[in-house]
Amino acid sequence: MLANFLERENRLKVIVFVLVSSISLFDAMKKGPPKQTSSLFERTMIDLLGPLQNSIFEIKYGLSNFVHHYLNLVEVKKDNGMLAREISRLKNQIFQFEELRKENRRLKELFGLGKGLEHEKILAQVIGWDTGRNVKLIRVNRGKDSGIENDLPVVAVDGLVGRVHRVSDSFSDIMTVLDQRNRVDGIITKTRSHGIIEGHYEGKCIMKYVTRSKQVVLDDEIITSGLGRIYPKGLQIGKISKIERESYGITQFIELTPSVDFGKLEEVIILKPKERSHRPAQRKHATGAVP
Amino acid sequence: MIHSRLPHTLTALLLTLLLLMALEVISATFIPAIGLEYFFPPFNILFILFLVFRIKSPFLPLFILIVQLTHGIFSIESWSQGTLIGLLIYLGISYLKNIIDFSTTVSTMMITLLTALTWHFITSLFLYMNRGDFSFALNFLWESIPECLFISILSPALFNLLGRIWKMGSGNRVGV
Repeated sequence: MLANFLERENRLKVIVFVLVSSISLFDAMKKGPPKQTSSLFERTMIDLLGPLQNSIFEIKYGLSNFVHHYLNLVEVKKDNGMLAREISRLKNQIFQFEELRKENRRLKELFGLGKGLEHEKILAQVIGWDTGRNVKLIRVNRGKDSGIENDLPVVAVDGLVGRVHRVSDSFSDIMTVLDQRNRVDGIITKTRSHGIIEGHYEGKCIMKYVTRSKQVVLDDEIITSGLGRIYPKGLQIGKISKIERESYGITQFIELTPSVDFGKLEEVIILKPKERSHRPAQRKHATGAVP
Repeated sequence: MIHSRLPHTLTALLLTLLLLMALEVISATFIPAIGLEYFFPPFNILFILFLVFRIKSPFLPLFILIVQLTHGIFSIESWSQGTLIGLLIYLGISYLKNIIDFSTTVSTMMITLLTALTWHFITSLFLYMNRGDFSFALNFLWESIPECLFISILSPALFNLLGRIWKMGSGNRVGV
């Protein structure tokens, strides 16, 4: 009986193994860019866990504020207690004003960005990063409810952040220019040479397909070309930080440092074409899936 | 026998997934917020390693798939690639299970470290095949070392906690 059970369990083990590996292999072999659709389960979980991620950010800021302005004052002499509390309160107030001033300036700069662009600007706050090792995505607190759609370009004060990759009702995942799956058509401003920008590693990007004959120099600026129908023309991407020309091959290796400091990114602007926001149903059919 | 343990298995799996989600939220939100924006401990790998090391079940491939799909809530990293690597590790561990020793904290940490590095090595091979860029794949592997070290240090405590969830004694593989 035991032998019979073991045989049955082994058979079951093989069936489950083959089934799961077949499903995984089928998905892994699919060509093309990563999927941008999300299942109902994923959307629900993102919407459920998004507020939690948001609260953790809030708690972190609250805690650091507490640590800066209260814990450091614990050692103050008792007879100066009242004075210290008052200083602490005022310091805290100044800190808050300073934070508000900075936020105000950031938002002003963000909204002043790209005045010539025919886009509706939707402000979003960064609430988390993708946990994948080779993925560079950020999660923001705006989703379908705010009119966000896949493939909308996302910018910050300093330049291009990326594009919307996955949307749930209240949150969106932004694929940054640091991600190796994200490809942006860019132009070197001085030489007007085109190339494709991809994420590399250590917070850098590379520009591909620039022929060796093009004379590029360090610190040349790179902007979006407007080709590909996702990113508007003229958004700053970064500056050239490394050039390698081998004695063979037809292209050169160009590494660039993105103009956006992703480590300090707090708010971003999602750009939505105005005509798309006014006539959503018609545009959906007109544009289709952007390659 | 499988049917009789099903409620326990489902409860344990659900609790495991909830714990994974809590750690993924910390990894996605808290760690970048303190300035470590390029440090993402791969908790999904740690959970899969626990399942592979300690759980004996014909449904183990399915559990690996479920862990990867849960990880997919927080990452667009390919779940299928992770599942395939998890299954490869599972096959390898099945052959080595008799010589693997989890009796001490150090041995647990060392085995976890080696397996996590193997996982990232296979991932970097996939990356190399996908991009054809050797330096990118090599850098990926190099940069994953601190994260592998981090999860290997966490492994004894987390395996202990997960062992309680799955109601198992220390050092044993438990059939479910």
